[in-house]
Amino acid sequence: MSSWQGKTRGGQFGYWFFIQVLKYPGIHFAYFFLHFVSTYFVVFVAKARKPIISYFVDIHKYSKWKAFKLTFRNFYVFGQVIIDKVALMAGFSNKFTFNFDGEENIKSMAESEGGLLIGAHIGNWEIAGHLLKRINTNVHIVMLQAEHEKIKSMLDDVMEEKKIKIIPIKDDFSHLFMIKEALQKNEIVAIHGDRFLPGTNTISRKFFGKEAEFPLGPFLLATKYNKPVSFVNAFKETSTHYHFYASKPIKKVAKASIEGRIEASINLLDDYLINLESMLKKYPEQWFNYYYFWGKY
Amino acid sequence: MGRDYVVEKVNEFLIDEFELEPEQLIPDALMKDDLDIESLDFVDIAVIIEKEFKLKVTSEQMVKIKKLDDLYNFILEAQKN
Repeated sequence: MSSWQGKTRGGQFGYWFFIQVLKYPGIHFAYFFLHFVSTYFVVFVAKARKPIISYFVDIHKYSKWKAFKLTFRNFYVFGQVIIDKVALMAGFSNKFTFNFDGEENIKSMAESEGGLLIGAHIGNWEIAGHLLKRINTNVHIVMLQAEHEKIKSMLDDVMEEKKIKIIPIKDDFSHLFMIKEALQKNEIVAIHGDRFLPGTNTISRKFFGKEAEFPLGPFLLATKYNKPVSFVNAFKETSTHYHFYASKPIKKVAKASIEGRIEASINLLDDYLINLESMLKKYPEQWFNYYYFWGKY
Repeated sequence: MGRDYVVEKVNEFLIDEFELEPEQLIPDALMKDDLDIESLDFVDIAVIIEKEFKLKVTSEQMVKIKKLDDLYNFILEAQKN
């Protein structure tokens, strides 16, 4: 089975450049350049192209020609999503419109015992951070240390909303202590449930009918601290419109034993996968895991 | 608090919290490989140490604990300080 190797493309200069483009010529000018970037990726970056073509052909059963066209679309939308993310964090929120499905679900969690928002590398999950400003509680976003450091200096300058806090994943487990603290204060912790780094606790589950590895950690957190979970995603529907989804909070009652807790966590993971499949059937081109997620077949 | 007391208390909570058998709790037992203690469990261990021994534990200290004996020694050393 494959795991993500912890590398992301792009750098601080890239983010700075995007902000300058957004400020002056505007967002559609930035989008225009994506045609060249997407073409470059489709033609020259086989490492990213091949897993996506395989995803469309082997998972969605599309023809090779359709898969090829959708792969270009996938790179293009991914580029747009990155631009939008920087634009929103930099305060250009008036350029976008949103509709919310299930905002009340997150509000009810924030008003009671807090909980976990579990997303995936699909759509524009980070944009949810912007939407969560409307929820009157601290929201902690768990992300990889490398990703956090890359954008930290820029975000510190431009991030307007201090209620959103980043918990960087580190080798010393400090993120686990921070997550525990946040959950004990009945705050909200947002985390991804689809990727894992080598050496972490994973489990193989059927996803679109094929076995794939998933991290158990995010789901164990929910059962360990007895907190509700909502599955969240935000998808790009037009160039400036997003649709945000937050599922009804669910809480799995775990038996006191370790086995009981693991069983409840796996149940939660299965619910997550059902939600993820239904979202990807609706928005297949917004899948942004650029590696062989199901392994090579 | 001597070593025997620390060993007894630590073993007690490992048996209760992590459903370990007393014969598994040998000083050379590796926390992860032999006792199946995951990173998430270290948070619980830190909380129990804080409560039981009134010590402040950081994640940097916890990550250095590889064997059960390291855990006993860490508590004994921290008490001295």
